[in-house]
Amino acid sequence: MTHDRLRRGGSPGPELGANGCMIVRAGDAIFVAGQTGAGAGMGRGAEDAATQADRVLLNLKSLLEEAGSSLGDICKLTVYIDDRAHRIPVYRTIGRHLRGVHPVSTGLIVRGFSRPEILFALDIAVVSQRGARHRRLRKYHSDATRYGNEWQPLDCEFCMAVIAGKHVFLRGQTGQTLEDRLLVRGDAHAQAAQAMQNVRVLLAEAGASIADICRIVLYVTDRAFLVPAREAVLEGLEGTPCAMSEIVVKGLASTELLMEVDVFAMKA
Amino acid sequence: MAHLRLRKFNTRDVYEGGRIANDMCMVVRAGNFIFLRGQTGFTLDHKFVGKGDAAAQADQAMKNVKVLLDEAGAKMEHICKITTYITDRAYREPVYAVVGRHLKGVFPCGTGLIVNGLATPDMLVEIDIEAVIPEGEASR
Repeated sequence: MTHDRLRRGGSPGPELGANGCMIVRAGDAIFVAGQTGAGAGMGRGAEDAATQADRVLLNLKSLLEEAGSSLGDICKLTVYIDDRAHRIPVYRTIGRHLRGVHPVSTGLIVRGFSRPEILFALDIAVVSQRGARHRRLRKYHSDATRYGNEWQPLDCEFCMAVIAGKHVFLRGQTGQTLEDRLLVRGDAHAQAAQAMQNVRVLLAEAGASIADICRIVLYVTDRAFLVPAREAVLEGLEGTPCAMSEIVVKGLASTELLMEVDVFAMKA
Repeated sequence: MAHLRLRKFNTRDVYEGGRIANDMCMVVRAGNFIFLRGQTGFTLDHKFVGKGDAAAQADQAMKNVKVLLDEAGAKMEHICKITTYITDRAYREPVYAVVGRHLKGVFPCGTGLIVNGLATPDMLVEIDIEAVIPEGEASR
């Protein structure tokens, strides 16, 4: 059986134009095109960022329903903004739409998107919950945690790990401990070592291990951090060869975080 | 069953200046799910092509994708998601023309990002691919 591919091509089309689609349903796994919400006459203010986020979440709700899924099936968010100033309006909007869902989340500041008026894009990883509900470990409210050394009023409900069938999704890990402390500043190797220590603990809590990791995306905020962060990640992988991508971004959740690592595991 | 990890390589042979010698791989197949290493202008023999030419780098990346999927028992038609990272908005048009040609008739979902950089300054584009072999088509 081939995958269902909904809303192919069209105008305004999905990311790949005539060659793309909005949603692919591959069994229980649902893949969604990165969503943006810029419209005519929008500027770069906080209200504009919130409006774009609102459109994105409303679109996602209807797209997922078309695919026989719902916002409650979301496992992971990857939130892309092009300026740190958009963080609070965008996250507060996301938090309002995803109340009670508790996905894991990775937040990145990038240089830009397809068009300059786009301030925000959202990627989601979704697995349909048939029968067994996803397990969501170490749920937390964003306002009760720190980002680097800062408190940020994002008003989002997240968690640290989602187990969806064989899939294990983790919150993007940084130099912050699982107790929410950033112990090492200015040292990308030490931050990455802490991140991988967290990965080991979270995978164990999810009933998985380092040997189940399939894919790694390592984000750094400066190319100079890439070699030290990569080495700590490789040490943390304990000899498990993974498919890895490495991206230099403009920023992470706080200016003190030099690296973040996304880990995708499947239980064997 | 343990995941299949194909085209392992040692970081010592690929990265300059690293002190760690660890294995990475190009493809992981976990059941029906296929995860590829982000593909760039580097050939599968670790030679860089298309310096200064984003379209040529994208073409090399997509050629790699086809080979890697094939080796993992999958096809281009099984691609579900493609994430395209470029380092300048000016590369969008040439890169998407090439990627679109390779993906004719596949219709994956896509996400497109402009980032500050990739693993080396010469890399102008990186392509991340997620694919799933449909139930009932699993062949190894």
